[in-house]
Amino acid sequence: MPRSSDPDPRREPGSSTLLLREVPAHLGAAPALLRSPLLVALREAPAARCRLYVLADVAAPAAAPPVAGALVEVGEPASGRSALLRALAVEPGHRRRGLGRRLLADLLTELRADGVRALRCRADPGDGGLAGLLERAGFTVTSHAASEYDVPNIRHRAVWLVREL
Amino acid sequence: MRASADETRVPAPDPGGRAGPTAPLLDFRILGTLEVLGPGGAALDLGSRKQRAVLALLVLNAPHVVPLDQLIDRLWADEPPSSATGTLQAYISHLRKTLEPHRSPRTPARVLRTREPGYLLDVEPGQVDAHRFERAAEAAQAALAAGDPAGAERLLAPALAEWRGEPLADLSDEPFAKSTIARLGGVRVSALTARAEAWLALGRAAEAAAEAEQLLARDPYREGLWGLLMRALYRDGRQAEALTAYQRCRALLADELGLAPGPELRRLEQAVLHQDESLPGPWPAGVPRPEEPPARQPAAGQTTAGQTGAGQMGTGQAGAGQVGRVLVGREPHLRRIGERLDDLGRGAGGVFLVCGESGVGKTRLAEAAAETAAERGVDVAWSRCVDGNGAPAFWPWIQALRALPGEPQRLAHRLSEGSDAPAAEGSADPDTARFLLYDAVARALAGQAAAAPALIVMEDLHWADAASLKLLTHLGADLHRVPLLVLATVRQEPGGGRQPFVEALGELARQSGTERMNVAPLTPEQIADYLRAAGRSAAGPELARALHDRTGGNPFFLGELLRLLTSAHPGDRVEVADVAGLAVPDGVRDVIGQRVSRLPEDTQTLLRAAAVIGRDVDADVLETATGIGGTRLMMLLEPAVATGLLVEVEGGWDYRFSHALVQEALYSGLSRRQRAQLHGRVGEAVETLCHGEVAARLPALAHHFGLAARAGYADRAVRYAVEAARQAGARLAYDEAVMYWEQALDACAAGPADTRCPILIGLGRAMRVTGDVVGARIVLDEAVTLATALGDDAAVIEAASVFGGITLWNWRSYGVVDQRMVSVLEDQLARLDPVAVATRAELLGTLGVELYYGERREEGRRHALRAVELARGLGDPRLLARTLNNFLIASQMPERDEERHRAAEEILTLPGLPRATELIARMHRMPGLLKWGRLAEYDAELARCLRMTAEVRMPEFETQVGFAATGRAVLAGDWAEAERLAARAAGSYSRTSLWGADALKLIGGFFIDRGRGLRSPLLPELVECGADESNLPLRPTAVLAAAESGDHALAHRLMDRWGVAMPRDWTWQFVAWQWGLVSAMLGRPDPEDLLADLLPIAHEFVTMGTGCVSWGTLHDVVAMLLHRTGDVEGARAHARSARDVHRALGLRHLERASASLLRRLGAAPAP
Repeated sequence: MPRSSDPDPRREPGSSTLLLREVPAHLGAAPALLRSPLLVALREAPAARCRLYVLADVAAPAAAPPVAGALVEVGEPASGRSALLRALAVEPGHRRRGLGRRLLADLLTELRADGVRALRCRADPGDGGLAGLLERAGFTVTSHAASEYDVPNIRHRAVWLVREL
Repeated sequence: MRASADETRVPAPDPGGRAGPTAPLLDFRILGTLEVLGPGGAALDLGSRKQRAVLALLVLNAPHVVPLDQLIDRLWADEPPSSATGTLQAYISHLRKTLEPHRSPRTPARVLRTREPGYLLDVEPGQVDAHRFERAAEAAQAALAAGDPAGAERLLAPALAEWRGEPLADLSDEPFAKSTIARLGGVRVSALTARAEAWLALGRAAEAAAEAEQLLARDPYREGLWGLLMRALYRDGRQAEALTAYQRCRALLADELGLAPGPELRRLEQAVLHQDESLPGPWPAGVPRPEEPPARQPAAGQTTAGQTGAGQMGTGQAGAGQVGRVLVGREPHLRRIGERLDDLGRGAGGVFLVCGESGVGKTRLAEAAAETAAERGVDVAWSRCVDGNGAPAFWPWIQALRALPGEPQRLAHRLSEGSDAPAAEGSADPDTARFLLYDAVARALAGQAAAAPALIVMEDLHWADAASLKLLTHLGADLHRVPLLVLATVRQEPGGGRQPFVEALGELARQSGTERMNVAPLTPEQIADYLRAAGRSAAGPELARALHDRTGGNPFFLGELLRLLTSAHPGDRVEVADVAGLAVPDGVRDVIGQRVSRLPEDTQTLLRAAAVIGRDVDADVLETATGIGGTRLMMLLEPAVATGLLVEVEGGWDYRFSHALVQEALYSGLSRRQRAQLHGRVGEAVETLCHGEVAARLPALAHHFGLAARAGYADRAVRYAVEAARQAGARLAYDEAVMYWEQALDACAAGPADTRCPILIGLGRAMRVTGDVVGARIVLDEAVTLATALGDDAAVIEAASVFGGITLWNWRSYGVVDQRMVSVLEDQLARLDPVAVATRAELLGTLGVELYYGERREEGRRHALRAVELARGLGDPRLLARTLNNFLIASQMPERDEERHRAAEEILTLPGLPRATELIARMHRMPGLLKWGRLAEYDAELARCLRMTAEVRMPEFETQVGFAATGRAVLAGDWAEAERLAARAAGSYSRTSLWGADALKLIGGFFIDRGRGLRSPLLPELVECGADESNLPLRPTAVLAAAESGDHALAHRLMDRWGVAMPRDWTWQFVAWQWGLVSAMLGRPDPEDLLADLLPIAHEFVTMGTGCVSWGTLHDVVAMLLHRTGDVEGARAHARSARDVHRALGLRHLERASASLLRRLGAAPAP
């Protein structure tokens, strides 16, 4: 904690009014603009165990799309309460504003409050900066993914990351 | 007794409410790894290591509060506070689920509670194994000292069995755990030692010796243990070993520490050597206590749980979280409040205004007053006014009345439901209804107070609605003889506040029971006291000065700043350098902003949305508006509660900002776009939640949608504002009605004409009722234009005929005819269906009034007369009153006085007359009484009208009756009273927008000076004012002033410039009189012409309009004019008549003037 805390740079004009919300996780409910990564992920996931979180501006018109979202699959309590981050996406127009970090932090809080003990994620080479984002958020690489990706001359390989909560 | 008081400082609910232990008891165990056993005895899953650490900190401090800042500092020192707080909150939330799995989300937590400045575990000491153990250890020591070793052993055996390993074994490397682990270890050694002593005393010396050896293996430097070992060995018949033990001890101390054994040990050695049978018994108190038990973890910021543990586990200290609770430097204020409460016992109440800047501690004083009152058996009702327009009319009164026993409660219902009278729409009598309502409230309160004295606290009076303020002033007039004290807090703003508020303050100031007390910011010395009272005893005067420089002595600012500083430097003492080095621009909002920025980001967002809802936050509305679930909402708001920005409202799940400034700071941090959107969402939430029962929520809906109009909610903004306006009108809250109509108009902006037109008509009508005549004119003109363009005749007629309503004065500025309105009316009349007789009467009457100031005055009079005939034919008394009133205005001509008098009397014979109509008719009748010298009747009417004005309370009437009273005082020669009344009438006049305020004030002022025999200083102003064509009636006064001041040249120049017109309108007699006076002096205007006019009415008294200037009989001026024209005898006769009339009526100054005139006429020859 610096002795003199900096005033929040976003405070004027207009403080942040972004809020994480859980929305029903079914294909019809998914916000249109997030369809690419999130809906694809939702199609592959067992919908009953999935939770869809969006980061939306409460001071935007109700019809406005969220700025970011994530799809998480939560295991049964018996399974040691770990969760799987299936997808995380920030709207193209809203990137480079720290929203991925914000969404992830909110997500961790949510899961933690729910008693989830670990969040895992598989980051593929095509996932942009996801692996980096996760590592900056305290995720550690546990293993490299299945061997079909294990080609020596491909620098970025799919990896499994995990964060204890 | 307190209704909806500020709960922050109210202790938690009585523990009596909790029947027995809360839930089945949990067992918290730290003697080993951290464990919590559920009711069934099974260990709960306590989650991750960090989560267990949070719980451990709470257990170690239970049942005291662990400040949030301290938890963050202990566990997440290297993380930014915002994210650390979020993480902590998640753990707290999950721990709650673990500890109370069956609690429904909306029941308050009972085990892990939130209490500013942090969290506490609300458990009995017996629920924590370490406490059980320590208590058993102490009891065993006592038993041992009392010679009951068997009892000591019985106590210790189960206590020692609680140990499952090292205390907090799983968290032993956490710094916060270390001292506790060490302390508990020490207590355990003591307990084991005591058990060994007990064994020894029970003759089990060998076991005791073995135990002592074991203990020494762990802690060889305890001489007491060596002594125990020696005694045990000796008693076991092993003297040699006992002596060896002594040698071992001596060698160890010498080698390691360079010390010799202490005297007790040496004495023991001698006793062994001498085989002393009386070998000293147990060491006093077994063994020395390892150390004084260190203070329980947190030093600062500890607060007691307030119900369970206090006293059992020591009391907390006032810390950062409590600084705001100290009331310093307010002794004189409290004393004065105490005196006023004492006065209640003598039947005297009043209005007590506590004034000061925001955050200066007005509410704290009010709370102290409420406490004092309650102690003295005075009933206390607490109410609060709400910023913005989201609350219903009379809101503070509704709250206060609800909180009092008896009759007032029923009145609360009447205030909130409104009367059934469709008031303000013109059909019934709004003024009577309002008076009756106010009177009913006043009587109910007086009755209740007579049974039991009462204090009504009204917080934030500056935000009260106009209707509430009027009720307060109505009530205030009598409070000095009713044992009811209304204590209101008032925020002083440089601008002075809204108009109704300023007026109410002015009126209250004139009432005898009203007192105003200012609360000033703290001085540096008082801040030093404050810091001492807050437990910062070490704070020096430098720190107090530095804090004073930063905060200007504002206690709220001071409290917030200290909280911020304490958060940033937990555990440290706040130093001067911290205050000086704080990189904040001065301002409490910035400090609040920084405190908010330490909360999780989602919490910040929620707080911003909550700030849009208002100071009081309905959790359902917030939930619906933001679209998150209730459980999560509560979780996210927790840190705001823990840090004291929000407080939980007792008995529900709603929240409230701890101070208005917190809400304002958050709100002001939002951009206009964000505010508009959020207001829209909040409005929608309110709409959803009221499930069609809109009536009660109309003000809130109008407020939120009004502020969201530009964000796509314009339709609903208009709709709800219109409904709220109608509702306010029905509840007799006319100023609110105007406000809502204006809001509706604003929201529909450039909306379609057919939406705008009815709003304009509603607004015009409401403005008319509140006395804003000019505003009403402008608005209704636009309505006529729009309705004409729409071809909506009904709307045109509706708008145009508002002008023909019942009034005392002509609405038009002097001399102005609105030709356009005339043609609108004529056009409508021409096209009107012949069967619509009532409408025809209204239109004709209105047209008659409209034509008054033009060439067609006589035609107008006939229209009005026709209107009266039509109304009479219909037998509709309301219409007849209206048309008669039209006639009264349309026929204001010198030769029509008697007809008009009869018309006014006819109105007074009509049944079911609204109070305002009656008042106006009486006022129409009064000038006649004056002119004809019927002063006794005039005075009786005036007194009656003054009484009625106090009931009706419209600025327009206050002005008019006030002017009549002024004129009467002038007539009586009571100059001081005349001046006072004139000033008052002018004051209420300025609140209306009727024509001529300045002109009337000047005329009145001049004649008061003249009556006093002064040379009026107003001449220049009169001349200047007369230059304006619209002030025509003032011109003769200006000329007279010039002539009487001796500046005849100026008088002539003015007459050259202005002419000497005498329009035959309502000013004629007064104007002719003045010209007569001028003519008698200067011979201009022509004295003969004036005599022709004045001789026939020489018996009349002079009066102007409503009577704002009244002078004696015209005989005087006729005498002067006759003298001027050479008829000395005639002049004397008139002067004599004047003197006699004035004498007969007791008008001394006029009698003297007439007598002096008579003497002059006797002496002076004709010119």
